[in-house]
Formats: sequence, structure tokens, C-alpha cells
Amino acid sequence: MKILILGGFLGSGKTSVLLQLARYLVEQSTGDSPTRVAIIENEIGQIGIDDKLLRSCGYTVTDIFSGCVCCSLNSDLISGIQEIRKETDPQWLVIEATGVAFPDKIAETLFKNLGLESRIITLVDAKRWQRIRIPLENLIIGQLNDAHLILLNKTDLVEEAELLAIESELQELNDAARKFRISGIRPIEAAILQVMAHG
Amino acid sequence: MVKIISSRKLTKRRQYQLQTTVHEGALAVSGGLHLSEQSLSSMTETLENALHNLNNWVLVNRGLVGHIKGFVQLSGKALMVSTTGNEVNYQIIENGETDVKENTLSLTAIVFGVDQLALEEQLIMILESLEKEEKMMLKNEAVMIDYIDDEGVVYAMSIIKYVDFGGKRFVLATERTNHHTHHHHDEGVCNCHEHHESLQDQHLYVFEWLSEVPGGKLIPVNDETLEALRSILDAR
Ligand SMILES: Nc1nc2c(ncn2[C@@H]2O[C@H](COP(=O)(O)OP(=O)(O)OP(=O)(O)O)[C@@H](O)[C@H]2O)c(=O)[nH]1
Ligand SMILES: [Mg+2]
Repeated sequence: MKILILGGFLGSGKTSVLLQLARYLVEQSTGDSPTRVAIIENEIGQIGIDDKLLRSCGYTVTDIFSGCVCCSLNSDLISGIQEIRKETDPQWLVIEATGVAFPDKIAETLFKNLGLESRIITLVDAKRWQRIRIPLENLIIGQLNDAHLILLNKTDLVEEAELLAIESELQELNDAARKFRISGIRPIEAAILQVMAHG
Repeated sequence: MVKIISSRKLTKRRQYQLQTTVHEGALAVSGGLHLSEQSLSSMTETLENALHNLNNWVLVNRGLVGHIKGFVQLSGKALMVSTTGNEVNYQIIENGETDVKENTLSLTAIVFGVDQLALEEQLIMILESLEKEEKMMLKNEAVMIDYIDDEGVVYAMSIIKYVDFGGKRFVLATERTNHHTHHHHDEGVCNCHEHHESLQDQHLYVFEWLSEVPGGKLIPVNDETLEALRSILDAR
């Protein structure tokens, strides 16, 4: 089971990208049976919204509400994953973190408790980078920590000069991660989806 | 600090399933409503307005919008409305789940730096006005609302019908009781004719309906608008 963690600030585009990623993974199926993709949605609100959207689009979702799997709810995450493994044993598990989670902590929890490696994909909201970069510095920078891939999203809403400025900041904050520009409301290039899945 | 909360809020919290979690400085307030059938088109506009207003409210209160999102679940169809502070986006899902037991609206506001009770109050107001509009437009149930005229006189009205015309929404309403309350006049001294009319020849009053105001608001229409509306209203 390969694990992808989608992180990034509230409203940065995680669910929009997840929908495209899940479709891509299923479409890439080889052999007789379609690839099984499991999805875990973690939301801080008591009432889930993203899980309802995903279900409407035909996906089965495991949800963990009312808190964050990177801290208070990490035991829920572990038991959730164990159950998924037992019941569907999917080839892929995609976890959408809450917008206030630190994805590296989730990866750490999975490694320590289940011995599972995961890939961290962090979304950055280009439109709001300037607005939230300082007031929420710890969170924003923490979310980039250990990310394997950083997707600069909502590029349709931002001028080139500003995108370049954000990219150079991202480079300083995490120079190891691969970085791509995307717009989550449009089809994402297959080449980028492939990097998301396989590195 | 101990906060004193109106006991009526208990009822509202239960009615709208209001629940709040606090995380990393963010308040996540969730609530929901049961809906009747086929309300997607009217819901879209109302929800869009409601989210715009909530964005403004957060701005005025020097907070920061994390993500405000709403989801309307009907059988086979769904609507997602979402905003991160500026424009409000929406997405309609056709061919959605058909195994839907109940039509519902779910709403979550994740906001930084505002007062929890005040934010909860905002959500309650949104859910209340959505419920009011739904009753009015779909179930054809009378909706009670006060109309306050320029003089500050309060009229208890029942809205019994609505019409959309020229990009605006208008309503027909009757006065609910034979007595209205006068704010600025001496009690008992009243020259209004309305008091003495029987229910049989009750008048229907036309107002413009402002859904942008939480809870909705009635505003008077001018004669030209009334004339323009008359043919449509007569036809019904
Ligand atoms: N213009 C534009 N809007 C986008 C883009 N990607 C996402 N959005 C919109 O941004 C809003 C938030 O997107 P989501 O995918 O729900 O974001 P999220 O990160 O899953 O949000 P949370 O789970 O609440 O943290 C939605 O209204 C999307 O339609 C983009 O590339 N361009
Ligand atoms: Mg999401």
C-alpha cells in the first residue's frame, strides 16, 4: 500500500487535487481488476464537507472529524488505516490532512506506529501566500517541512512576478522538494500527476 | 473569563446541530439543516450571498477566513459552495449519490481571530434565514417577519408568496395581527385604517426581499415597481 499525504493550508486546494489524483490512479489501472484507492478525509469541523463531496463523486471515504490526525486524533488515524488494510487492502491510500495539520507529523506517526513510509505533497495557495505567510508563519512553514513535492496552486489568480517571488521563497524553505505550478480547477497535466504518485 | 449566554441559544444550537472545535488558533463552527425537495437553484444564490456576508463580517471583525464551505445534499444532485475570503465558488454535482435518506445542508466556517460566540451567532443567522427562505419558497408556508417602516413602526407580517422579477426577489405579505406596535407614537393614539379591517378583505402588501441581510429584510417598493409587478402578480 503506497501512501500519499496531501497537506497545505485551509482552502489551498487539497480536495480539488485529490479528486483529480484519485481519478488518475484508477485510470492507470493495469491488469484485470481496477486499482483500489482508499481515501481518508480528516476535517477539523464536527460536520464533514469534503467527504460528502467525494462521496457525491463516487468515492468511498473514511472520515475522521473534529480534530487533527497530526496530534489529538493520531490513534484514530492508525486504527482507520489498520481497518482499511484489513478490509480492502488497497494499492493506494490518499490522506487529506486538515488545513491546520503538519503533514510531516502524520508521516512520522505512520512510520513509528505502522512502519509505513509515505509521500508528502503540500499545496500552496498562491493567491493567499502574501496574506497568511507572516500571521500564520509557524503553520505555513511547518507544512512545507519534509514535503517531497510542493504544488503551487491557484496560479490562475496570480501574476507572473508574484509567482516567481513565491517560488523563490519556497525554494529557500524547502530546496529538496520538487515544485510545480498548477491550477486545481483545471485538468492537471498527467506528467505532474505521475510525479505526485511515483516521485 | 466566564461568558453569559442566552438560554435560547441552547435551542438554536440543538436545532441547527451547531458544534465548535478549536484547533491551532482556528475556530471551526459547523451546523446543518434538513431541507425539503429540489431546492438547489434557490439555495445556490442564497448560500452565495450568505458566504459573501460572512466574509465581510470576518473582515470587519479583523479576523481571517480559513475556509468557509457549505454542502447541499439532495438525491442525485449536490452543491458545494466555498470561499477563502474573497470570491465565493460553487460547484454543482449532477449524477451524485441517489441513496440519500434526507436532503441536508451542512455548513462549516473555519475562521481565525474572531470571538467564538459571535461566529456561532453568525452561523445561526445564516441557517435561520436559509430555513426561512426555504419555507417561503418551497413549502409555501407563511414566514413571519417584522417590517419596520421609516417612522420606526413595527409591523408583524406573514410572507405568503414570492416572485422573482428583474433580478430581484419580491414577496407578498399580509399583516399578521390587527394591531401593530408603535415605537415612537403614544400607545392608544392611532389613526391607522388597517386596525379596523376584517380578515376577509385583508390587503396583500408587496415588498422587495433582501436575502443579503441575515434573517432577510423587507423593504418597500416604489409605485413604478408595483405597476411592473402587477401584471405578473395578477396572472398568478
Ligand atoms: N481559482 C482557483 N480556485 C481554486 C483552485 N483550486 C481550488 N480552488 C478553489 O478553492 C476553494 C478551496 O478548494 P479545496 O480543494 O476545497 O481546498 P482544500 O485545501 O481541500 O480546503 P480544506 O479541506 O477546507 O482545507 C474551492 O472553492 C476551489 O474551487 C485554483 O487553482 N484556482
Ligand atoms: Mg479539503
